Formats: sequence, structure tokens, C-alpha cells
Amino acid sequence: MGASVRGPEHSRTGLPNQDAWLRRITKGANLVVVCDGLGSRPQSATGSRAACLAVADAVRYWVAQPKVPPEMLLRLVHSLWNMRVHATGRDVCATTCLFAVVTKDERLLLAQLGDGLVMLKTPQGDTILEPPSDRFGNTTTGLGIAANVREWRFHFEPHFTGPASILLATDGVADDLLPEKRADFLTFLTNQYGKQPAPQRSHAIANQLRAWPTPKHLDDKTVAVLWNDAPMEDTL
Amino acid sequence: MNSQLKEFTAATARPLPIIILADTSGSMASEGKIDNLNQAIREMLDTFAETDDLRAEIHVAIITFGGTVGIHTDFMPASEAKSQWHEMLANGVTPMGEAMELAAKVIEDTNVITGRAYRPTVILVSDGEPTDSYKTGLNQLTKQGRAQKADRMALAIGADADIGMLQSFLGSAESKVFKVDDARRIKDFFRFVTMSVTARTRSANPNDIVKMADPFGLDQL
Repeated sequence: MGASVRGPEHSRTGLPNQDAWLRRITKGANLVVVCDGLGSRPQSATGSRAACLAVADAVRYWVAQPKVPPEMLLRLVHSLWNMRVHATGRDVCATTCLFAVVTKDERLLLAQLGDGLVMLKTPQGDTILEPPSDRFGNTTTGLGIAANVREWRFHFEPHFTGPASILLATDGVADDLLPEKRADFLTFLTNQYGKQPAPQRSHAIANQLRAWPTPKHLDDKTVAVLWNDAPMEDTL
Repeated sequence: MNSQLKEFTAATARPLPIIILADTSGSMASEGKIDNLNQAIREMLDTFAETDDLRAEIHVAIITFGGTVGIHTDFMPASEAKSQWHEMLANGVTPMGEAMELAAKVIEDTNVITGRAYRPTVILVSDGEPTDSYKTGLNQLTKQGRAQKADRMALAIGADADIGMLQSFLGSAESKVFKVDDARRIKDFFRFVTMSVTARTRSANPNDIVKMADPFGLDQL
């Protein structure tokens, strides 16, 4: 589940929401992608949407090839994205890219290029693909900027089982989330909205994002969650 | 409407930190320099406190170096700094190096300047040469840790100011030290600082530092 809303800054300046997200649930895998177009440029929205589609395409190939390492998938994402934005130009479309995929043969991959939050919560503990700690705001990399696939951070488990939930969020959400409350936020989302029908919960989550409580918040806001219904030991 | 997300999210706006390193050595007592500096900073705090449509909340800390190094104003929102403002006094030698070490310490302290903060601006104002050993402080503030990512501005007051030192503090050849000979123009520099900072807070990305054209005709070296 997930939702994306335009932030007050882009509403004010008449720019579209430059975040994009995608969910793809198929026989082979469950995938969510969240992307944040960089720099409030006119084509930033194009870049983030293209990235979601590029990841979905690339993941299809990866799902079909169980032995392929994650780096090959990431390289394919770059190539497919480059093709999609070729006519528009990579510089003006640059975007962050966060995704999580769980395959039916138990592979789990979390990947992140650029700012935002990717978090995996299990009864054994939480995993976060954390950006470097001495940031002043944005680390400024993404598709269209990164020169090397090593700029991605990722977490791969070849045999993942058990209860879990995964949160992806763009900066507009991640920057204001209290670090010690991230896991609780994810639990809140799955408990509150997990059982609702899809259109209703997207709408409900979007309303929460629009009513974001932090003062002077201005960014576009996007969250996406993957979770399984296996019972967690720590129910609230 | 009471958001259900309140318990998970920060209750305060993201801060934009401004750190002023102010020379309050004995020489600043002459020619109206310290008076003009006090007035200039007070005006700047007034403007920050009053401007409401800003994306970030401006936070200010003021470190003085005159005789000793002191925290004149602890890191706090500009509106509080304004209400607590008291004048700086000029006296003693110029321990600029120690002041820079203290500034670096403040910036590196993630409890004071959190991960949510926008890139800080550090402003160094001086009318003379440092009387202490400054290499350590300069390195800490300009070449190490988070501090090196800060935006920096420098003002040289009068003929005895150490321009070379201030230029090293700025670091890049593109940034120029501002210079005033007449103490009454100190205010113009701080008005320029105010403009630059408020422009950042209104921009789509307050971490992008755009060099602004100076409308006050300040000398740049």
C-alpha cells in the first residue's frame, strides 16, 4: 500500500508532485518503488515516474533469474531509465530511487539511490539503509547523477522468511520522522490501513500525508509499505 | 485537525543554523566599531524573528573572541535570541583560533545541530590579526567533519584586518572577503547576510547556496 501527495511548496509554485511510487504484485514477486525527482525542475516528475517503470521492468528479469546478483539488476535499472528519459535528457530528470522486492523463491532485496528512508522491520530487529551520518540535508545522488552502481546502498537476503514489513519514504516524510519512532510509524500504517480495501486505504494515507503535522513542511510526500500477514510476536 | 501522525514526527520546523564569530577585541572599542556591530546584529535578529513565511526556522549562535572566547548567544531560534539580546563589549586580545575551535565543536555536536538541520552559515567578523595559534581551529572549521560543509562569509573591518586569514577561512577562491573601512557600513554587510539567509529559507532547496549579488556596493577582495 502507499500514497503520494504534492507538498505545499509545489502547490504554491504550480509544479506537479515530483515524487512517484509504484506497487506491483505478481505471481513471481511483490515490489514497491518510491522515487523523488530532484531539484524542482520542470521535468523532475518525468524522471521519477520513469524510474518506477524502469525498476518494474528490470525486476521482471531478475525474478526470472534466481542466481543473478543484485548489482546486475541495478545496472539494468540505470540502462532502462536512461532509455526512457533519453529524449528528455538525464540532467533535467534526475531522481532518487528506492525499492523493495520480495520474490516467491524467498529472495529479498532492498535498494536505495539517494535520499529517503528504506526500512525493514522483523521480530528480530530493524534494518535501515542509512545515508552517511554527517549530512547537512541532501546527499544529492540519483539516477541521472550517479556515476557508478556503487552509489546504491542495498540489502539482499537470498532466503528470507517470517513476518516482516517494509517502509519506503521520500525525504518529505523521512526528514521529519523521529528516528526512534520510525518502527512505530510503520506499525501504525500496517495496523491502521492493512486490512482496508486498496482504494480506500490509499485515500486515507494520502489524507494523513496532506495533514502532515511538522511546521513549515514543504516537500512532496510519499510512503509505500510491503508487509506480510504472518503474525508478529510484538503486536501492539 | 489533530493529526494521528503527531507522535511520530518532529514538532518543530527544520532549523537553518547561523553561527557568528564576532571579534570583540580591544581595538573594536574604537571608532564606533563595536557599537555598529551590536546594532547590525540586533537588526538582523529583528528581521529573522519577524519574517514569518520562511521554510526553515533560523537559529542563531554568537561566539565572541576578545580577551577570552565566549558564547554570547547560545544556539537558539532567532526570535529567542532577539528577546535575550544584550550588547557585546570590546576588550582584550584576539583569540580567533580558539573561537574557531569552539564553532567547529558546536557544529559537530549533533545534539545542538541535528541531522534535520539545513546547511549552516558561519560568519566571521574581525578587525585584526589572531593573537593565538589558529591552524587547528581553522582546519577543524573548514576542512573536517560536518563543519567543512557549512557556508561561510567573512567581513574585514578596517585597515588592520587580516585579509589573508579571512580568505583562508572562506576556503574557495570564488568566495570573496567583504571589507568595510567605515564602521557605519558594518550594518550593510549584515543586511546582505540577512538577505542571503532569508533567500535560502524561501528557496525550494535551502541547502543550495546561491551567491547573491550585493546591492550595497560593499567592497569585495
